[in-house]
Amino acid sequence: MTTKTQSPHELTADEALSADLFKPQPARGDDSEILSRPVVGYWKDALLRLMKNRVATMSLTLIVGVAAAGIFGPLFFPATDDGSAYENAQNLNFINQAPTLGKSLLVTEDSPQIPEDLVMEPFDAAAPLLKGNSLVAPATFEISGMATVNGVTLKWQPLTGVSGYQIYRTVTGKDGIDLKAVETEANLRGIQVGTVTNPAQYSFTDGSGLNPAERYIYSIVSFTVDPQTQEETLSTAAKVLETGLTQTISLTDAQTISKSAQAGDTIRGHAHIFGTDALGRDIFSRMVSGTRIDFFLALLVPTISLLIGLCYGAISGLMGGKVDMYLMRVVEILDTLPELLLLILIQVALGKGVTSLVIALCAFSWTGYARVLRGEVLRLREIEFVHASRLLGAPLMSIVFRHVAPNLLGVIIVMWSGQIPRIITSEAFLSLFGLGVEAPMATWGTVLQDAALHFQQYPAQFFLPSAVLAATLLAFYMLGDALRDAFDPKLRGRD
Amino acid sequence: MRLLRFIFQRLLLAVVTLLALFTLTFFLMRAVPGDPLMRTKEIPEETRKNLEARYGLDKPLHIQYVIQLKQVFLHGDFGTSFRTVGREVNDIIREQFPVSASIGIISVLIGVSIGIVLGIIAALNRNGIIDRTAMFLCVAGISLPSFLFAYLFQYGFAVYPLTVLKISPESWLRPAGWGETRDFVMPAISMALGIVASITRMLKSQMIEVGFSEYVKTAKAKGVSLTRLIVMHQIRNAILPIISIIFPILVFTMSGSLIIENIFGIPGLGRSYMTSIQNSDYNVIMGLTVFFGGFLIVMNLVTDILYGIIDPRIRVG
Amino acid sequence: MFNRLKTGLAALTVATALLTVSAAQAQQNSQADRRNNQEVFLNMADEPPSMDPNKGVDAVSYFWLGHMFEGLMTTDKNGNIVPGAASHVAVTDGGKTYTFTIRPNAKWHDGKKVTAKDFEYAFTRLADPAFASEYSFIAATAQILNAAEVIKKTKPLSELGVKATNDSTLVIKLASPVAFFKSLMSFQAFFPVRKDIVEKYGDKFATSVESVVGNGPFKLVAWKKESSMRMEKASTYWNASAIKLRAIEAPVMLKDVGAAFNNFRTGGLDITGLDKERLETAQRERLQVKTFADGSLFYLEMNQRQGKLFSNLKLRQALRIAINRREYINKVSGVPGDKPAFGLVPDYMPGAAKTYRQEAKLDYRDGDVAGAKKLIKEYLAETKQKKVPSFAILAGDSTNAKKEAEYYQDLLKKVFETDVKIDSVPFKTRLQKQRDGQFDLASGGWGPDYLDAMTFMDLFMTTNDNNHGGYVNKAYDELILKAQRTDNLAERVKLFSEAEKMLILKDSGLVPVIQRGRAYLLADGLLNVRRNQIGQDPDMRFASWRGASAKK
Repeated sequence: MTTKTQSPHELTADEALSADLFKPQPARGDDSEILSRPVVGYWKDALLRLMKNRVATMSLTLIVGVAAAGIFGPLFFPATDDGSAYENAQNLNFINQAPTLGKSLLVTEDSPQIPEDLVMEPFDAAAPLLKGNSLVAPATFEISGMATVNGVTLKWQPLTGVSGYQIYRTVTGKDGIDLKAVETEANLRGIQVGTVTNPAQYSFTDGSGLNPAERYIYSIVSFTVDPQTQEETLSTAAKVLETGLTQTISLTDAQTISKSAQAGDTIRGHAHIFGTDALGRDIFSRMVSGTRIDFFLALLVPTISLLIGLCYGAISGLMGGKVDMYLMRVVEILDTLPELLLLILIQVALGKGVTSLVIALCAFSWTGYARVLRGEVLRLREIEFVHASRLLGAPLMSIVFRHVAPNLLGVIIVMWSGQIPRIITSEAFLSLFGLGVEAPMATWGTVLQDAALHFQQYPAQFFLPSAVLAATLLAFYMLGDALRDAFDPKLRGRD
Repeated sequence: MRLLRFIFQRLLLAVVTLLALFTLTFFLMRAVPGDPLMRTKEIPEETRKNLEARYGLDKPLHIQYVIQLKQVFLHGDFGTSFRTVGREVNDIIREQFPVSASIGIISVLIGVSIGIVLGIIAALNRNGIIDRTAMFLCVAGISLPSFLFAYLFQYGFAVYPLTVLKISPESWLRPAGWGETRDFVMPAISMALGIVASITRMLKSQMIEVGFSEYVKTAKAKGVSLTRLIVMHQIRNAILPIISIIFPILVFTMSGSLIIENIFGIPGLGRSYMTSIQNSDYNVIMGLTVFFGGFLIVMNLVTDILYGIIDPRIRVG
Repeated sequence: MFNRLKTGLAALTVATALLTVSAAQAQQNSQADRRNNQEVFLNMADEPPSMDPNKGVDAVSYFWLGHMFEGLMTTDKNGNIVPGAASHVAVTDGGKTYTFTIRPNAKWHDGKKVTAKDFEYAFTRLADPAFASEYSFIAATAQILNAAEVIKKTKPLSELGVKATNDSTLVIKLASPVAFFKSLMSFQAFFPVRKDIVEKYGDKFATSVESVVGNGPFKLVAWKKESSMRMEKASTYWNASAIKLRAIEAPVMLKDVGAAFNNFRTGGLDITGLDKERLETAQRERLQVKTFADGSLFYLEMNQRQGKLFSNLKLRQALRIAINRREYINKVSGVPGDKPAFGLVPDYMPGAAKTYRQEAKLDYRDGDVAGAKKLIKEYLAETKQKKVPSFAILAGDSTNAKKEAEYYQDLLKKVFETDVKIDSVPFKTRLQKQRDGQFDLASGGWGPDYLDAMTFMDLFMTTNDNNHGGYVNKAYDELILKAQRTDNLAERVKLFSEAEKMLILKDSGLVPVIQRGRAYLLADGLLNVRRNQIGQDPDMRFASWRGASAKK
């Protein structure tokens, strides 16, 4: 920035000035007033500078890309058995799956019969009893049939002289576990999945919350109950087995993938690049279809609240004095009213749907714009060039549009782009209060909300959609920054 | 003198504002479906009648309004909670507000100082790697839900060191609890994140704007050293608008955060507020709303006065 | 300006450093210390709504009160009803007069003797309409003479059938025999209350450590509102030698299960609830996970009022058999410990000799979509419609409630072949809508008030306020009234069984879905923690740390 000024040149005698050194320049006609380069207006200049900004163009491309995916993506979704939307199709055989490109699945009948608990009759009293005085676990313990995600049927050799059996389950985990240790150490057996109170019963089916990504360890112990005190005694040792689970798909679902599928076949399932949620819905497709509503809200709500806030703030700031004071007290009251109460009331008055969602979201964001913009207007009102034009007799409207408005643009864009992420998170929050979109319709917010509940157990469900969200929001921010720079005439030619 | 008159005028207006707030809240609460005596298990009709008589809920609405109005504005008494029997709303505020407020103040201090430093660095290093990283962190800070950071801190600062690194619990942070100085650390940092994000963004854009202003140019032309230029001219002027957002942020954080209080087990006002609304606990809702309202009004007044003092171009009143 | 800022920054850095350093000086009661001292740390999600036994209505209050007080009767470590503050009870007059003899060594925590007058005062207070206890109805349920009339203000309080004839004898007269009267006498609403303390503190009774005096095994020693509470073993308790724990403390009140889980992992808690969202994580870390039935039963309420869709019997039946309870448990609720519910009475409820459910079997095929569709076809033919009108599921505002609703929505869309909406609303709005009958289908649940099938069976009487669906059947009402008037156990099981079959099989008045199970984390070595369906839960009165007492 520091320009080097030339040192003053001293003239020698030889260089003394003479009149012939000066000649008049020939007249150039009228072209001195002609602009040599094309006229670039304010808006065009802003656009040009925006386009020159590499980050801005990248951000814009990303945003347009995501929007396009939201608009056209659903056209490419796989078909479902009843023709309903793919993103809402539940598949209870496939809940909480990690991201996959398509697993091989065993086709089973639509509603597989859950095996009944089998009872040995007549029950032989000569079967092994208590060994000495100590209670023992059943001698055999095995899996009957196939262990699938829909259920694991366990079978054992029943005992007499006991009151029943308790069945425990734990996961093998990353580091594995010593089965011998599980036999003797009660605290390694995990969670109790069943109590059998009939000593003659010799089978039990467990299916609660099974996850096909895990390997499970089942243990069985026998127990007695003292008829007098109701005191319970467990056998010290357990019988233990370990099993993985076969991933299955129901016949109807299988036939939407391959028409010729039959029960017993193995077919390749759909890819779920973001995995599936707690009801077995494909998270990626839910994100894609959610884009529409989110983009709609993200663009509409900040704009509406901005317009309201701008008018309110500008009036307050420009009028000043009493008007300003009263208007700001109104904002104060609105800011302190319990948000939740208002939300519930809006829900009661307007019901569900996008309209009430927009109203609710705007109702809580316009005051922020009003407060900040009023402050800005107050500041600008007192700035020199505004004073100058007022002195020169410029009308109020002209001052507003020529001087105040362009100088507000920076703040407006920062606030506007800053609100977009908050819209997406509060949209999810509001859907809990019956204000959001109608279930099972997906939005980014609801997808994240559903996944947030168990993000420790199934991190991919939460973090992959979060990454998409964060990337998109980052793009909005960067674009916002670039827009602000582009629209700020003072920054012209400084980049 | 002018300032005193201004303050007096505003305080007078504050009473009117609070009155309006009281009235609005009173009727909004009652317009919402459900009442304080509604439970998952219905209270039998006869008992319900007896209870209504006990709490004065059987009187006509306008009488209830007048009674509570007198109680609140003449005696400063908000009554007792409907949910926790015998607990006075005034006690709730007296005991729990200092907790929320202290965490709020600390997190604003942390958030604002980090935000200012980051904002300055980001502006000086415009479009450079530090700027980009800072902006990315800000976006993450705003777009990811706050419970996530709270959990991450709880795990990273407490669970991991205590269970994996086997640090003795006596000499380290505990995952949740209240009553010791160390219990401030995680909640304050979790709450500070959002503040850092907004301050950084705002300061950065202000710094850049100021950087192109006439007085900075003039100072530069006069040959002021770079450090002095940045410190005395750029930062000083860029920080001004920050004041206008610090007070709203301060009010917001001092009123307590439900999520942070739930995760770190803090007896603050945030969760009382949420519980009261969920349970239509009329007296608590009213007490907290009017209290926060008064607090906000005072803070707004302070902002306006401060603004007038710091920035001579703005006339107060 | 900037200089001041710099000083501020410096001060802040120092402050942060101080905070970290101060952490080093702080003392924490470590799990190992607690083992040696026989102390237990647990998480209570909330501040107790009331520590007044006559007022406390929820599980959190009951946990504290159940350890601090003891009724005439109490439970032993296997859940049997045994004498508590009364050493002896005589039943005369065909089960209509109970005479309790108070233990001579039963003492309050301040050393005073527990007298029959304390019980008389508490029982009268419970029924007093001016006091307006939310649980006053339980005095009527217990059939205490004139209790119902006193609550309705048709008879004066002095005519309540409870009299202390002297300091150690309490006579309770009943309007009709009640089969489960003894078990009711262990209930919190029937705990004794000290008149002098109530009068001393007035409205502030039971709002602080000083203003609540109990007679149970533990006494309250610290109470920081919304933050922590602590009870210590009471040496005045008549059976103090049987109590092994020295202290029970809720060091923190965490509503967030994830936070409580983190606290448990670091040894900050010895027992805490676990949700299914962390079940696998807990198992992978080999923490001790247990399950128990929390006692409540969940069902779908159908609005059967005139003009509502589910006033049609065929549609109700279709709904009842279409729901696949196993699938719901395995895939949606996902907590091992949940059990399917086919009837209204849960498995643990006692019957005459065995449990009620063992004596009154109720089973039908569910998950029967084809059968349901057949019924729906019949409905359409009868009403000459082409399509079942669309209806809505009223749901709560939690993520889990929404998930459950979405599961039902998907299933019912397929079964009823119509549009099914979800009306998810905030807590109180849902209650109001249920009460006003502004819904088609809603998920409801009930937790027992006392250990008898009646606590569930009287829900669906015409006059019951909790009968949100508006089920009306005179014959059902009569069966329940008959059961209320007899204390013949076998006869009651018969009456209940008949009523239950009428309600569920014949009328499909509700669709039972699950008996809820819950998972919790328990520190290794903490023994004899009892989980109750009714009463203080978790019940720590018999708990102890393994091996700790041996060291002493």
